[in-house]
Amino acid sequence: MTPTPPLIERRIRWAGLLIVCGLVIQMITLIFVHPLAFMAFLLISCPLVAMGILLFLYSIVSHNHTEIESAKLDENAKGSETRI
Amino acid sequence: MEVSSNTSAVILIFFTAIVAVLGLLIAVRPELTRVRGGKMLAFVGLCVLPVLAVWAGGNEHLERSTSTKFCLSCHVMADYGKSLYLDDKSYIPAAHFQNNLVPRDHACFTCHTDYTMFGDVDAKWRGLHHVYVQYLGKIPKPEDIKLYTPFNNRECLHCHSGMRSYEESSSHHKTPQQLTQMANNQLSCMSSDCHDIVHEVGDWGDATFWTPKQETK
Repeated sequence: MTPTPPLIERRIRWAGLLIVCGLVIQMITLIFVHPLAFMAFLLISCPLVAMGILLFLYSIVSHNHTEIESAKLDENAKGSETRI
Repeated sequence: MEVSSNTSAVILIFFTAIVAVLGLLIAVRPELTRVRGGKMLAFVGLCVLPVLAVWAGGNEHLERSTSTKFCLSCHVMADYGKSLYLDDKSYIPAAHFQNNLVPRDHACFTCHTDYTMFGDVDAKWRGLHHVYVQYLGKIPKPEDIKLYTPFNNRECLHCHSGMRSYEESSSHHKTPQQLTQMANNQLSCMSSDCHDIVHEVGDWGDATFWTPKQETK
């Protein structure tokens, strides 16, 4: 049984997949000179890449928060142990 | 559909492919981000490079959307494209197109964009409306297509203003104020019985068409 990867890695995986999908669609649209290619780029490719980037940035930010919080919790736990 | 064959598009597709491969690597092996180098790689591969790729892709698409073949890719515009080859110099678009007075690759855009601060944005917005009508709306007959607003002299004067042939032409000095009136758009170039033969789709009769000679080197 493989252990579940940490939350940040799962988010990074999803971010990567969204960006890859967006970029693949962008590559396809760049092959054709047609209004539909432009629309596909604007309405599918751009939002996918944007969502991927935002998810990646969110995963970094939220990870730092949880790390700091857990470090504080650890510190508090150690402090209470020494008092006892 | 017309396939793009310009060098910049090929380079951009290649660059996008590299960024996609890097993104896929990080997506498949997210544990790479546990070390410092992996974190930097993820930031570049999932943030910096995708932004660059999309920005470059957007630029390329915007540039393409100003091309003549892009405008003529909708069936309803075919006759307007054909009007550029009419063998009659009284047709303003044909005279401009055939004599290289407008760049042939960007013939439609050159005359139909607004030469104002947000003119290109307005032109793109109108283009989006055209795409909507083409695929989701009721497509009008080619001869029923009209401009949203009367053609502004500003678009003509973007090139003609300051030209000797324009400023010294006797037909532009019928009255002392004529040049000023034209500059202020009070006297239209196109609807004052002067240059009023434009595309005239559906009204060609037995017109003949110009065939450009192949360029020889």
